Amino acid sequence: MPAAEREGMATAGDNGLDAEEALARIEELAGEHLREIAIDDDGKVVIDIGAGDLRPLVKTLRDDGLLSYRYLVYITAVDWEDHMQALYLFRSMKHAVQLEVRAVLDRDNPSIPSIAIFYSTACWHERETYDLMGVMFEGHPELTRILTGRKEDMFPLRKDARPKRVQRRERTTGLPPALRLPGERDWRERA
Amino acid sequence: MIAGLEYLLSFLLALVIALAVIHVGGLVFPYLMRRLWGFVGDRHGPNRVGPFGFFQPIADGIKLFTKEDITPARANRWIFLLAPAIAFSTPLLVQAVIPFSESYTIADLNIGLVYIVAVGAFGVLGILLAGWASNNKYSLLGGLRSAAQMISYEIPLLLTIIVVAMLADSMNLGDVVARQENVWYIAVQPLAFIVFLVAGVAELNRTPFDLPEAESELVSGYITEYSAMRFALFYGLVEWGNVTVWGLTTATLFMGGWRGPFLSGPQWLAVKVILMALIIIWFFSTFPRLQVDQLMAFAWKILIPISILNLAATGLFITLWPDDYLVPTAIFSWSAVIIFIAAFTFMVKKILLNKRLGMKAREEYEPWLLHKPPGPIPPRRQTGL
Amino acid sequence: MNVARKKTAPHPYVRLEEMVLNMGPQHPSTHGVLRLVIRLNGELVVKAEPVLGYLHRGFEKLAENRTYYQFLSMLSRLDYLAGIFMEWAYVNCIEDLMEIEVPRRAEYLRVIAGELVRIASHQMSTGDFLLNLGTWTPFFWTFRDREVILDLLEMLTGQRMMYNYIRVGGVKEDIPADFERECRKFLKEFPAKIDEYEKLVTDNEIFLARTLGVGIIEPHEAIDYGLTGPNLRASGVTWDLRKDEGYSAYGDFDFGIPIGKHGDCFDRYKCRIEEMRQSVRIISEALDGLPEGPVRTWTPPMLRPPAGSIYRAVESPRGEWGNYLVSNGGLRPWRVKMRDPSFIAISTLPRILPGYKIADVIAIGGSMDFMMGAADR
Repeated sequence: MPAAEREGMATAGDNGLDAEEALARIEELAGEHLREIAIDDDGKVVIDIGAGDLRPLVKTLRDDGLLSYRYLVYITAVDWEDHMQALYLFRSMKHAVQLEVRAVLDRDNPSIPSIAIFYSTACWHERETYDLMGVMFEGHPELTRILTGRKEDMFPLRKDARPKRVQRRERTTGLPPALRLPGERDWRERA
Repeated sequence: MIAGLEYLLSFLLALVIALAVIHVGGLVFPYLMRRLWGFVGDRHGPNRVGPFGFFQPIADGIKLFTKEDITPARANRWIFLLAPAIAFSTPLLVQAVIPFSESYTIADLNIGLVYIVAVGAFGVLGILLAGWASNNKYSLLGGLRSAAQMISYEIPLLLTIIVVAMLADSMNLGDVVARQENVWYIAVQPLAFIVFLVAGVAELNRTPFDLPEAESELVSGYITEYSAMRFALFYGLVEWGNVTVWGLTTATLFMGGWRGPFLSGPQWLAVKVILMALIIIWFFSTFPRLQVDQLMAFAWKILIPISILNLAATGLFITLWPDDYLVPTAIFSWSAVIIFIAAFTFMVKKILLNKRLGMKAREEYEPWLLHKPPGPIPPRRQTGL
Repeated sequence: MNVARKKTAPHPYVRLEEMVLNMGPQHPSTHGVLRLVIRLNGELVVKAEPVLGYLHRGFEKLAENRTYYQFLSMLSRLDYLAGIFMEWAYVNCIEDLMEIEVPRRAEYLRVIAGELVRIASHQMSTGDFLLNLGTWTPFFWTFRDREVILDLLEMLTGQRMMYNYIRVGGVKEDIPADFERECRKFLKEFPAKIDEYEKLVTDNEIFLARTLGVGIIEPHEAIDYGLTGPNLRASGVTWDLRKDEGYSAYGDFDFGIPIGKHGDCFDRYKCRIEEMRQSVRIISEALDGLPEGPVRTWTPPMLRPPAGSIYRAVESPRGEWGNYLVSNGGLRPWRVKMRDPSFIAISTLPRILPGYKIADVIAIGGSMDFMMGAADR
């Protein structure tokens, strides 16, 4: 028996689960971890959770035979200026319903448990998110900078991240002319 | 006094001839290789300097001569500078016993074959020292690989040379050539020739055995840190000089040396050397590179048993039919070549596939399953797997 | 059943000193500027650690400082061998956020351009893989044929590599007059060229010895590591976004997805070769069924997608290239995250490489076909 069949996922094919059923199944399995659950326009299930619930939720959904969310597509974070949001996209090889897990984090001290023990790929995704956004993943084997240099002193994808040189210039002249659109005077007006 | 002067003159003549052979080889063969390799790859190759780009190696030589000669910091300076010279001595010295024509041999040694093996084994020292002295990890790995490889392939080379010595009943290369007046030894002992060819390519560090200087893994291995003239010495003169000298040796041992109709001795030698160089260029353009353990396994598990078998069989035939041993040897050797090539072709693939499939039967292997919905598939060439 | 991973087993009484070898960032076979810190025991790899970031240009930050159109022209600099897929994913995000209808003809042209780029990229990667194994000629042969494709793409898009062809609401312009003839000529000749590469290499014993059973990735490992594209399919997992999501016009075409069974270097190489054949098929079908009509719908000169977030992915030659776009209703994207297959392929190296030799490191790296421009972003 090839390894794929032994693991019961790779070549198993489509079990025909649709978004409603997946949602019901998730609520049944991990109802106590969810804050909010919905189906968005793409037909994927979107879950809002608290940061502490991430590990049990992910483990449950990964090991469930019907849902089998064994494929982690990406981990990222979005800086919303008043809070930080961590995002996980999961996919199953058994059905077409994707799963997005969101967690709201404190912006000054963003921290969320690492899921690198459940998904090998999470290791580097988490390192990248830490590197660019400054989200601390607790329990990560080696949370170090990966894309920027070791001497980088800021988290570049945060909205207020500016090199010192640019900060000085912005204090005096506002947004550099090259980046200014008609009607904009400052980067803070960029809505 | 007169005798001393004569001796000096003959020494100078020998030196000039030996150096000329290496330099001509080192200039012509790189050009030939780049040009032919270019044709194989659907390119032009060098075609700008001189007619058909023929002066390209000379232009490269001038460029390399005028560049800065860099010794890396913390390299073992003297050994680093000495290594190319040591490597250069091999092609220079081997030529001493090669008969260039009926009358001219630089040193007509009666143990010429032993001399060739002894001096030929010397070349590894230069490469090993170059790799070690460069203070570069890639160079070190290249040097180590080279040492292991050349020592392993020295053995089948030696065993085939013994076969030739037995056939010719002499270790003098002049005698070896003289004995090939009627029939070349390549026709009598093709098995020995093939072993000599393969082991020789490995000794020369050419593709597919070019592990010591693998560009894609070791960044040219032991030559990594060499620049300017020393690079030219290693890359052009030593490597292609070795090819030239190896071609001379092969021609002498198996292809009748300077013998041949219409042309003079040196001309025939040149033709045969170019033929051998063409084989090397052909290998270079088509083969991938072996892995280290595969290289060693090939020497110890395939080449050495074959050459020992060949040696024993030849000895047996010479003992049984002391007057007329060429015919049975030829029959044995040709049939052995055919059997070995057939077996090798089938066995290698089978062994490789078994290694990969583990316990799966070969029939279960269907490489290209197609995804749902399958749809009509265009006719696909069978890959033989 | 499964071929066991080769383990390093030095003799217990021999004290071996390990050597740290820094492969890259300037190394001919690391496909750009990947740096591999390799701990060696003789020739055997004991530990391998990739170091990234030598080509980091901060694309995600650049996107936040540019309008949607301005950023579009930068995208093909990410994976510079397959730039059109970056544009495609990004444009898909914007179109789906703004609910812009794309003309059918434009979708077909996107598929044609995309598959041409896929062939070119696979040619580059197979040639490069074989070059890593030490044979030069296939590299030149693939480059010779890649030149034809680049000429076709220049005809179609106006550029050889940095296309900027896929625009919001369609493509840049309609096909030129003689493109179809030239393209059909190429499609007719190209399968013979693939056979030529295979004749030279695929049956060669040395090539088989170097690739069979080397760098095996089991299917569950591949899924656990989030591998995509040929690397995943060579492990035997049937997953291809072109089939499974059927984005753009891929639902209209009849093509196969080659999958391997063992997940070794040979299967990855072979998957790419077969994908080239399938791409030829897709292009000829697309040319046959090319619908009439406009190639671009009108879009406002300044895009303001409604607030929201969206993830769109395309099957690039290296795997799933995804774009996660967050808009706050402004002129510039609030956040752009790029999900890049090469980054993930490199993340498997510490797991795969130990136990193999240096030459295998190069072979495995070549067969994984990563692109540092995309991995470092």
